[in-house]
Amino acid sequence: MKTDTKISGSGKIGQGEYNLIKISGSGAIEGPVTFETFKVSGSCKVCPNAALEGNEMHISGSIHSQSEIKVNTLHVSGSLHSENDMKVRSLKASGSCHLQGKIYADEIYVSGSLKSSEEVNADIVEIRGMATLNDLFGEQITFIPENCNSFNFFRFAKHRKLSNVKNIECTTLEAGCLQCDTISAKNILLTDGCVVNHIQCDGTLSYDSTCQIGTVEGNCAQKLLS
Amino acid sequence: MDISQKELSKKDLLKTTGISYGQLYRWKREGLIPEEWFVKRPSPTGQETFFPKEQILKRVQAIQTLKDRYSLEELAKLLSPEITNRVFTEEELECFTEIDIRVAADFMDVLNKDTFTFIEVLVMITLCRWKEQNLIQEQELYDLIPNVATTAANITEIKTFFLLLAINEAYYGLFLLNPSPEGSLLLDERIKVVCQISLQELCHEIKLKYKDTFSFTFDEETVKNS
Repeated sequence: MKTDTKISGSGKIGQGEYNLIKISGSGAIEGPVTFETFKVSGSCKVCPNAALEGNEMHISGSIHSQSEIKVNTLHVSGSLHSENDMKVRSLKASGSCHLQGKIYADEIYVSGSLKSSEEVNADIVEIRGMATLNDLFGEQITFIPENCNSFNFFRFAKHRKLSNVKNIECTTLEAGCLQCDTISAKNILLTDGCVVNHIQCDGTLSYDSTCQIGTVEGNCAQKLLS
Repeated sequence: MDISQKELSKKDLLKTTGISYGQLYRWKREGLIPEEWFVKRPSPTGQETFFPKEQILKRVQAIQTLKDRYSLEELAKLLSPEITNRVFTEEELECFTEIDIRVAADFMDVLNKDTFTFIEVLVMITLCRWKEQNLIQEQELYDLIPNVATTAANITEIKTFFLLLAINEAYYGLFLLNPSPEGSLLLDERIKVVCQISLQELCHEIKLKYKDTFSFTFDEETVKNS
């Protein structure tokens, strides 16, 4: 029979099957756990060889995981740092996400910052804020710039902070304030000072005059937005 | 063989099959297209991804044909894992008509066990076939078994070539794990390659032959015809 386990203050949770895991304060997961619901209000450290698998995870605070995470829904308000792979149906994060392993998801919504050195692969990706990524793959990817324009007082010049992605491959991309080495997509819309070295496009490529685009390959209809 | 004949670029794959980036990467996430099939090579624009041509086209066609009949998760289970995970008991070994009882007995003595992995079964079948084809004499075979059996017990990769080598009238076994299509094996001219077999191809043949006996899971063609 699955039990509930709760930590108030500080404590550790070992291997097991749980219905509810609730950490208020500071907790450490020391063995592989399965759960229906996992709630953290405070901080949680997941040790190596302590894979998490379950239905819902709600993090209000911070979680640092050295093991795999496989959940249906993951809501983070605060900070998520994962050193291992993640597989989720839905990730919604406000705050910062630092991923050192792959993340496979149906949908990823990040408001804040997303940093990943490995593959980010999801049907829908929406990043509202800043991202530093290596490979980003999906169906529909959106970068919504927020506060990417700032004024440099000494140079009396506008300065743009750009998200930085090495490689994007998707069906549809809409992006503002994005710097990218390579974009391969069917339909692309770029605004707000995007800088892209190479585009492979076989549908429509639309961009405004603030964008800098290197080479374009493929059979696409190009449109300069006014 | 020219790489362009054996490999297909991602660009050409999407064009040939009509699938989208979103579909391709969704199928990768679901395990329908193995990660090792995504081979990155340098290109003038940075990096380009290539796939084993025959395998990827067969796989995409199978997915497109079957995705209305099965969920992606079911498809991932049906379409071949690269190796079956089951082990075979002494009684089950008797079902393989290819295996000589004395070869099986010698494997049991050398490895001090009576259950075997599928790779070990394939190696037993190979040795028995080579004896039947008079590629190796009976006594030479039984001298070979102790060393080959010990090595075979450590192999977990089905993409392996098993070679029978002759050096100064003595026989030796060589296992090439994950051989590259561009690679080649150059041997001292005193070493003669008597024969070789792809364990992956043998795996497919044996699984087809004994599919009802052992309920093996299969590759695209068999699933489509089922």
